[in-house]
Amino acid sequence: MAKRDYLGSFELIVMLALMRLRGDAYGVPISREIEERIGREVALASVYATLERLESKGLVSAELGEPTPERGGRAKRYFHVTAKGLREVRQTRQALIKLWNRVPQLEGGAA
Amino acid sequence: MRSVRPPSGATWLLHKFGRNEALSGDLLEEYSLGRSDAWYWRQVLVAIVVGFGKEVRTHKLLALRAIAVGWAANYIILHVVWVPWWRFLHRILLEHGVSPVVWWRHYYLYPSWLICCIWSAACGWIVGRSHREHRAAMVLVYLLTVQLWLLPELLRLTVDVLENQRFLPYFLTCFVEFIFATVGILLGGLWDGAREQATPSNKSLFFRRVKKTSLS
Repeated sequence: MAKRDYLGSFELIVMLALMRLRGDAYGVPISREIEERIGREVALASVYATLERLESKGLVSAELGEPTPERGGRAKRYFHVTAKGLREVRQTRQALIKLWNRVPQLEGGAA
Repeated sequence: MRSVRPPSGATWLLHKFGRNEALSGDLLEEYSLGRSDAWYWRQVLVAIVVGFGKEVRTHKLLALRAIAVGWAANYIILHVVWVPWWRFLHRILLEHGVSPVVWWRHYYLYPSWLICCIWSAACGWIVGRSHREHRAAMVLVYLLTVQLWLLPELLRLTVDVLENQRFLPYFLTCFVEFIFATVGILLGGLWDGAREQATPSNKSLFFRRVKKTSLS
């Protein structure tokens, strides 16, 4: 059986947030999107660390924007999901759905 | 949008330990949109821990080298400066009927601790100087090993002093040594860092140039 890496839970969350945002995805909107969806504060540094890991795997690509004064002259770093990244998310989703079905502890309502 | 003036201590730490321009900009942008000082501090501390962990994971051999360099410098300075100084001081103090164990009762002995601070700063400086590309992370790695070395003794003396006040002199000596070593290593290790980080790094200049070329 071929060895393959599935996305970790936070990696998957970041990838999904990135896909929801489409074009306007840099650190601030990504972390806000995650906070709004999962309902807890996330550290921007953790989001960046995850994005950089995904970038090194070729699942996202990054480009630098122009520096702006409200950011103290620092540039935004925009991220995009690559075709490989999209494929990886689909495969992880399929694997999770297969695992999710027929779990006795989760069937029949309240745990 | 309020005026952008986040806590200066946190910004200083981020500038020293977190070399991520985009992250610094994001934190500033979020702060200007109404995030609290506590939020900013939390984010900076997490950024330092995450950045430090990443640097050490990706440069394991360099981290080992930093530890070896730091401890070698420590060993040399200990035997060339600190031990002879303490022996000399003990001899002089005992000749004058002063117990070196209760040094803090004699204010004129306080400056002698400066040697401890300078010794630690020298070790930190050597580690920082020999690992300029990853200065902050390597200095922190070395500092952590020094703290790990001193901590068991400090904890043991803390327990002892809670049981018996007789151990207070030993506890105070160890405590001062711990603080001075930490401050000294950080000061010495990050000494040149301010000058190096004041100008944009070659990497960020490269990215800006690439971006400008692709836009034109």
